[in-house]
Amino acid sequence: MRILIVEDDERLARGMEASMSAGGFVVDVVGTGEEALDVLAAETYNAVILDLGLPDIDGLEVLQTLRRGGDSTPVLILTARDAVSDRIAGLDRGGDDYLSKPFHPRELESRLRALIRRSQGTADPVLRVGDLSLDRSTRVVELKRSVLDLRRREMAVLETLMGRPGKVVTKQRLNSEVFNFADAVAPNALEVYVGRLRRKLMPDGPTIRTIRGLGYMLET
Amino acid sequence: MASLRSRLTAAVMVPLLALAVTFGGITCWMIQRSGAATSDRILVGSVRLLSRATDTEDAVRDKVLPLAVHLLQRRSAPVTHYSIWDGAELIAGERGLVPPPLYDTRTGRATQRLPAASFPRTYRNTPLTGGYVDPRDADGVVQPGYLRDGMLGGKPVRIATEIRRLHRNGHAVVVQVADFVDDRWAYQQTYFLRVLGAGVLIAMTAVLLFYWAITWGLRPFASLTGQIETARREPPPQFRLALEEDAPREARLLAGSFNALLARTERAVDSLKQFTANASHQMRTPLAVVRVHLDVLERYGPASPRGTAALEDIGNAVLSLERLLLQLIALARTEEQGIAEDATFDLAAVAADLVASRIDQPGSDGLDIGFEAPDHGPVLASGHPILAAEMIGNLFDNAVRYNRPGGTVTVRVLHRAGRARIEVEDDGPGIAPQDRERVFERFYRARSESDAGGSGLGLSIVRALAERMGAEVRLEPGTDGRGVLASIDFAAPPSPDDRSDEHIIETQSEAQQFALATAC
Repeated sequence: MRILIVEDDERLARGMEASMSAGGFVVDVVGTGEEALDVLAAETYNAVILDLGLPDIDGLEVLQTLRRGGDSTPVLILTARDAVSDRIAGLDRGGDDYLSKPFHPRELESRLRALIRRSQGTADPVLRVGDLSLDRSTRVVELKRSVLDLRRREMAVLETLMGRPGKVVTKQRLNSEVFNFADAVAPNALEVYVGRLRRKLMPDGPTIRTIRGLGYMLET
Repeated sequence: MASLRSRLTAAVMVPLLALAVTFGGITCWMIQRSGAATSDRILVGSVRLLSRATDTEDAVRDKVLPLAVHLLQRRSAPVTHYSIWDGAELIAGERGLVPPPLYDTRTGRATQRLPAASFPRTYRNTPLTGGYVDPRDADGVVQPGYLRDGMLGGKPVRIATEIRRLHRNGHAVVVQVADFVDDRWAYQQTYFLRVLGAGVLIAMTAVLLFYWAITWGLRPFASLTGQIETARREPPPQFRLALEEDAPREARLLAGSFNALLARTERAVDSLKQFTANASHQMRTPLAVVRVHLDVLERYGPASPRGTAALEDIGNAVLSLERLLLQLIALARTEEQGIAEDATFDLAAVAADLVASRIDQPGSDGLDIGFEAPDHGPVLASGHPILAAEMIGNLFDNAVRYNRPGGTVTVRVLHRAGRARIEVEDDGPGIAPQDRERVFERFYRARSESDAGGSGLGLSIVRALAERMGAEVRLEPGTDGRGVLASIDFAAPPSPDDRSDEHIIETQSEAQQFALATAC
């Protein structure tokens, strides 16, 4: 799951990136509202964490611009402003959740997962395809009741595919959800991860079909 | 506790009632006097009438006298008691009403003449002869009608007497008419009672009118009390007393003062709220940094590159929390600490010490730091040296923190217009003109400085201290318009004549301790 963090305090941004990467998120960080709008125009994210006290544009304005442009990416507002009026303003301008500093990083992750679940229209945190299940909260993948040992990126690929079982997921989409800007991605990196994943799912799991020129599909 | 209304009513009504009683007394006295005079007039008039009627032909007299007596009967003052004596012989009337001592009954002569009864002049002053308007009627009067007190049937009476020599036989007859004193008294009493009744009625009306008038007059105040009471039970967000347009000035003054007090209190509460909100806001980000990085440590372990970075970030966040806390304490202290009157210190020495103690603070590497002071003698300033050191320290820290790599910081102590002045100048990015006043607000930080890690409290501390010491703080653009020239003009010390040496506080070590405590 790919997340954009918009936070001007470098120390905090650094910590959040490290903490959330460990939680299975693919994270990009920007420090200004201008950058945030640029990046959001070019890339697709599963959710955005937005600080309100930005040095250039106020976070609320960023949010408003985003929503006016028709972007419905879930936005979690993370700020030191904690007055009820601030919360109301944040949610009413198009925010999907509001968390005030200081916060617990694990709570932030849970809220993000919940936001993403809701945006995908599934209330159950556990994705299931046949005998394969992926718990998005605990990051545990089980095949016929035995735990599969998946690496972070394999997990990300599987999660994206299991999110749309029986449908084609484009390579572009997989790339954007699995790699962040900082990753130096080789042209065939995605094929490598899909190949590894296929081997780990054999022989009991669902198969991943390659649709040439389009992408991949998880067969149910 | 008596109400204002009853107190005012009492205060006005007691003298008013006393006046009413006095007035009633005077009225009764006048009623009594004029009543007595009227009765006396009637008596005298009656006696003249009877006397004149007596001096007629026998045949006429037998008819006229009873008619006269009959006509004299009055309900309010009965003239039933009369007598006509000819010597010792009673011609008519009551036997009990005996002739006066001055009439000798044996000879039928008056032994003595008394002055006629006289009454206060009336508005129409008719000349009388022996009490009669027509002098012919007075013909034969020996003793004109006069008044005396006597007894009749054991009761006091008022008697009018006239002695007249009859034309018919030359006899001097005594004609007397009497009325009882207690009859007069009873007659007057009815008037006294009427006066009393009228007085009570007037007094009651006055009390009611006055009570109503006070209630009416106090209505604006009752409205104010009601408003305050309502506001106390259900406090509105912003309460102000409201009065009608025509409310009296006293009520307006009260409402005005009360509203001004409310506004002041609200401002104080607002500024405290703002301060608390700002303080907590400033603490949130460093706390969030600590929490997030603790989570990073937990997930990656302290030995990993991310763990090492996390430890460093936690350390920095704790440092900013510490600085914030110390500055809050310093700010609170400036508001508690009293400053010794006319304390004097050497500004040059304090500034030199401070710069020396802070020369190696973080961020000062690569900066060209300089100190300038007059060569000869101390630069005396009025105020407290520790607090002055705190002010200079804050300005110095700002000059270092908001500078550019390879920039300069100059601390300058000088005399200007008889006052000690310190300048701290840098050639960093400077402060935008629109921010120059706002930077003194608590927690305000100019946009350009968001990365420098300040707490936003330094300049508000400087201003608070300056206000305490009567010093003036100014921020101006530096030389050639670059950087900031921060200056403090201290109050001039008292003249050397009345300054004793004890007041020069030797506080270099003290100042240093304080500087160490606040430098972080």
